[in-house]
Amino acid sequence: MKKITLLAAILCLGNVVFAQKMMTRVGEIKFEASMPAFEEIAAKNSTVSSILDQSTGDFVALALVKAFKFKAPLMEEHFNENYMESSQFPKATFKGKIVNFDSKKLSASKTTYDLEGDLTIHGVTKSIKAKIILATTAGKISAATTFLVKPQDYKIDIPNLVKGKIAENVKVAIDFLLQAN
Amino acid sequence: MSKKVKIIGIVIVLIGVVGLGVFQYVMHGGERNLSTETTDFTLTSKAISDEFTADIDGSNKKYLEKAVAISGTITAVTATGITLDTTIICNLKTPDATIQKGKVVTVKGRVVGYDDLMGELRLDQCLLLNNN
Repeated sequence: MKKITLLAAILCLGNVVFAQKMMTRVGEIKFEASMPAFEEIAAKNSTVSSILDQSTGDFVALALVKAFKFKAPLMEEHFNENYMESSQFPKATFKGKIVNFDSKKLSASKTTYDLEGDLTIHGVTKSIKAKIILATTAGKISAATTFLVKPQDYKIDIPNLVKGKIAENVKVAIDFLLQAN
Repeated sequence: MSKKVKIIGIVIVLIGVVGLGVFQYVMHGGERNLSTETTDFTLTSKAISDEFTADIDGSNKKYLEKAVAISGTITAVTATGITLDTTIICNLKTPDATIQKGKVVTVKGRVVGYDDLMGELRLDQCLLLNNN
């Protein structure tokens, strides 16, 4: 009897530990849509929220579009008003899963996992696949991934006049340091 | 001869001025300055977060991009900003080392959006209206 209670207690404790959610509010997303020989089109958002559920590998992230910072305010204005229509679609989200995630197997050395899920930008949801690199140090998990996004896929219209200046595939780089709340 | 030199000189100066103007416009045009802008809404942290939790879309339409002054108690201080009553995350325009946890302050900033993952409202370009 004692053994069973002890076992139950250990199991419960285990659940508590592994149900731990790792999160960040200051995740970083950078993107670049520059074309060679033209003006640099790049922005950075360092206030991205993200949660990783260690027990399931569920991974979610939310970026507010208006928090993307460009070098030139005018470019930022165009990005918000003409392309992303951020007053109508204020956020970009990702909801997905890290395939075969096992928190016990994480180590200080970088390991590549598959990331699958739905990316919502400009009110349009598409399922995407990417590689995500995970590593853990001092109780924190670093997660980094890069993928390409086609503005066309998300119904972001680019006028013919500037088509040559904006890359067809926008490079998106993500860098999060997740920690227990 | 000297007239020609003068004209060329004037033209060069003119091109320089126009060029500088264009450069300034491209690099800094459209920048907002919250300290001189009029405040669109003045309310408490609880009032605005209640409004967002009740109706995100409606509140987005009402508040996004607006300059708001929000009063509340500082519950966290980070390198880049402060948190009011755990629900309002303010990114400060200029970091201020004198800010302390527990103080009741009024913060003016631009509404960036509502983070429904964390249940928090985000402001940026914030400045403190009072810091007693």
